[in-house]
Amino acid sequence: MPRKAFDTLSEPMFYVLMALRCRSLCGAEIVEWIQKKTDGHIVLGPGTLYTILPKLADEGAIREISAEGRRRSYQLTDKGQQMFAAECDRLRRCIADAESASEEESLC
Amino acid sequence: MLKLNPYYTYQIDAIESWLDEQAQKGLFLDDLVGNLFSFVKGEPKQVRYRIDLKDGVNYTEDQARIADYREFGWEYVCELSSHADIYVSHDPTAVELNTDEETLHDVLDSLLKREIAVGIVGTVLVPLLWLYNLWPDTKGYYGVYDSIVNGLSPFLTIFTVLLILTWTIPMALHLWDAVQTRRRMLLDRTYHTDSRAKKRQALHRSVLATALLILVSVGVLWGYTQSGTDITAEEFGPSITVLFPGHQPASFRPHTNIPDEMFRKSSMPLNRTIYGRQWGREILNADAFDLRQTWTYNADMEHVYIQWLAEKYAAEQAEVKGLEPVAFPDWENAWFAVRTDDSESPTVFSQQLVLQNGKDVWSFSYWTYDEAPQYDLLSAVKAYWQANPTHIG
Repeated sequence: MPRKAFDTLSEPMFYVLMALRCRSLCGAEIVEWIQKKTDGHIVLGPGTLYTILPKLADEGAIREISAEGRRRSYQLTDKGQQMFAAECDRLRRCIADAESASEEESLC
Repeated sequence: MLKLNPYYTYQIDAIESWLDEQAQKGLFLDDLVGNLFSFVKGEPKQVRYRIDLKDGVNYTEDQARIADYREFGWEYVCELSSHADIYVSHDPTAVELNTDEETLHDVLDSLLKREIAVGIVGTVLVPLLWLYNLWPDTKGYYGVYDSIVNGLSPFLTIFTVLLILTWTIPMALHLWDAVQTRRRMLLDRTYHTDSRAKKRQALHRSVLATALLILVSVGVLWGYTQSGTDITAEEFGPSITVLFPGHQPASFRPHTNIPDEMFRKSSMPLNRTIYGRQWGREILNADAFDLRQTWTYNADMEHVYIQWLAEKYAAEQAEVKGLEPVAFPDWENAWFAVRTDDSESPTVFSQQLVLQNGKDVWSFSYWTYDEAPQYDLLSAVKAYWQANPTHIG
């Protein structure tokens, strides 16, 4: 059953919001930042990235702030900050549940 | 070099693998013409062709997207469809175009839902509509046997059914593939195999060839039915003047002597026909082209190539026209009726006769308007037959 759109974030969406938290970046910079941050575990291809960016922009999570030549940069919005924070909370709960389940298992 | 695309446009994983394979054979994609990929030859090389799905992307965004992708080492090649572009990368270190299965499916699935809806409509509704439209033709104006003997309906029915199959089979495959593609892990690119591509190309080719053959056959048949030629009243034989001496058709136009009549011979796939049509008119006011129809005479002499069909056709004609069996020397079956219809104005007096012997079927109709006929069609045709027993057949 697919996840309802923006109810929770997909992994690439989550990392795109993470990359844009401190400063605005263009597409190539977003990919580079994520790759560096995750030691190459998460790699976003342009097809994936430029599918996600308009969706996030439509949702109001990011906004396109400049188009120097053909280079477009993106900035996180307040709504995007909230979405990112909510996703972090959700993931923390997931981890807490997993750890608690592991502890229970060790008692079995 | 042109090659038929073996896959549907949304089978992006298979198309990508197939294009990569072509590059390894030294064929590099140049453009797309309809469903044909155009390749240029070169040194075999390991390159990657990838398809970018775009939903609701306008031209400006499209151009910006192409420029953005170039930064990642992907060059635009051509448009696969209005929702998909093909890119190529010669750089083995360039990051893959699509890296997230879920994101890819998000876009593809919304496109596939449309494809599936189109597939359902195409596989079920379109053939039903075709068959529904075909039904009156099959039934024919004067019945099924009339449409078989005097029309192309049996051939058109066969052709239409074949045409429907050439439509339905790819549509059903399209629908099945759309459903399967939704379920598949596209980034694995495991769907394409050489034998699968060849089978699908063979199917597409045979469907196209069948459709083409059908269209050519219909054209040839239609041309054949249009090959009728005019004949003279003498060649025709039992014109109204011959049957009822002294009875002349009116001039077609009041100021000319051109009689209002038509005699032709024609061939249909299942019969050979000569027929005559004559009309009587009373000129009320020649200057004002004011005419009144006084009588109509139709005679068809058909040689049907299949005897049982001739028998069925004649019986059907008699039934449709409401004729009663009568005795007619030398003919296996004869039906005749004399009627007066005064339900509408003018009153119509009709005499209709159908004869059948072996493969020959004769049909005569004589209508007069307002005035009762002075002539007896049955006796006149009997007299004509006795005088001209080998006129047709």
